[in-house]
Amino acid sequence: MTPEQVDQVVVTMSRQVPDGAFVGVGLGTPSALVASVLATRLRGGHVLAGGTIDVELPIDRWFGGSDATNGFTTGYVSHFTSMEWAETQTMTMQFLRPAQIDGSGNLNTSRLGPVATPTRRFPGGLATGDVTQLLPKVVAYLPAHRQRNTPEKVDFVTGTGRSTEASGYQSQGVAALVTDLGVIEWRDGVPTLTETHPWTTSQDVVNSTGFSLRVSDARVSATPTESEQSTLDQIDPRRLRDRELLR
Amino acid sequence: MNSKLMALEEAAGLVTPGQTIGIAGSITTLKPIALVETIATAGLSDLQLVSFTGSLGIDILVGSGAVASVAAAYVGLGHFGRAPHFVAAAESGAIEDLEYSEWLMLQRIRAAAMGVPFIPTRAATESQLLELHNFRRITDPYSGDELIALPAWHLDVALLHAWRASADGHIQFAGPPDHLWDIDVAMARAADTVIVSVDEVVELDVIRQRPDLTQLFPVDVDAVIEQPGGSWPTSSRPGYDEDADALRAYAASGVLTR
Repeated sequence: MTPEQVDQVVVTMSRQVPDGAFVGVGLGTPSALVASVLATRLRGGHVLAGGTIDVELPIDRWFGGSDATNGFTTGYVSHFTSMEWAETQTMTMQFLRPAQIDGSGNLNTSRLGPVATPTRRFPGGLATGDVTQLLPKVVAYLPAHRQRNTPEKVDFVTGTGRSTEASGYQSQGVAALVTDLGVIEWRDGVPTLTETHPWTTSQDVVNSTGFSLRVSDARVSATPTESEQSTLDQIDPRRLRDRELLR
Repeated sequence: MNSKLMALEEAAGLVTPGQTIGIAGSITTLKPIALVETIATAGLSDLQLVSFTGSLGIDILVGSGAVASVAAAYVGLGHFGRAPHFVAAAESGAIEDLEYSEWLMLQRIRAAAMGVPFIPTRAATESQLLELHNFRRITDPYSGDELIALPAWHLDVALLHAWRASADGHIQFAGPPDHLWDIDVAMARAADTVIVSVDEVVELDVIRQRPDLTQLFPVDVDAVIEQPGGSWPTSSRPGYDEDADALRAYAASGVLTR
């Protein structure tokens, strides 16, 4: 992707964030942080990353420890509190970047191959198994959408893609997948291509997806508005988003 | 004052084969590496390691051959790379690889710290991670919802590194966001024996000047070791940052070189 395409993917991710959301951001996902801060700057809400909430721009400060954040955040949050906010659905959304995602939206961040003797053991899913069930909305993203990371069935279900419902408690599960090729949303449990990017076609996405896809009326993702682009540049002037997405 | 000061080797000698050992700290922050290195040379076996976000501590002990199982929500060296000995042992099946989600692990530790037999949760009920564990499902007697009952996890030993302590066991951390102190505190309170290395032992008068930083108390702590740089190459604020060169070299070689 070119830097302009990276920006369009990040802006597309940000549009998945509901107005006024409280977004949790996990380790090692700077694109998710940029997209979350962009959405909450433009449409309200809060962002919690690394136990630090709503850091003043630019987002580089988020990565510098207390030396960088004292004076620029309204508070620090213990990890138990952060997970309690997930279980009580005070936190409402998170982006996750899996190693694999399948047609049911299941996420694998754990391992490839046999469970007991995997061919590749990843460092681990952190809260993937938790937040896919606890938060009202989870959106997955892939910097490089390929058949191999979108199989019919993941090798291991670290986090379920299914929506769950209990008394007074609803979770959409994995609601959408944003990639370098487009946007897939789960509608009534069916993965549906809803957006392509200006540099891709519906057929490109179908050809690059290992699971079956419903394709109907996919639109082209809108280019960043002037407000989105200028806010994006204020948030991330040193383009940390490129670390994950630029290829 | 009842001093709990011990030498590194004496404290490491509190660990015996087959025990469940919690390793505190988070990835490249406040890992009790000097303690781990001493334990790794003690000829122990069948240790069952528990770490929330594990890294060098797990990897050194797995590399020493002392480990039977690893329970963690993450094992790696962050952006420095993978944990080489852990990955090799997990992929070959040489250790029992008990992967956890964050909340499944933390609630088990917290149940032990709270003194309750289990904590129910809605988290991860559909995750395949549950196949790796023997958790039982329960029905909420009030709503009828199905939940998982996470059993209290009593650890034999917890190994921590902190900024400073008094000799009697008041432990002070620099605090957030430089350290996930609450998890380490819960892990200590879930353990029978708590061993804490610190960069500096100070008088109680110094502890009293910043009582807001005291997170563990003499009733929680069994051994205090003064070990300046004891979490190197991971960081210990405010004293020192992570040693990026040493961590990068370890990820590539599996050897910690000073």
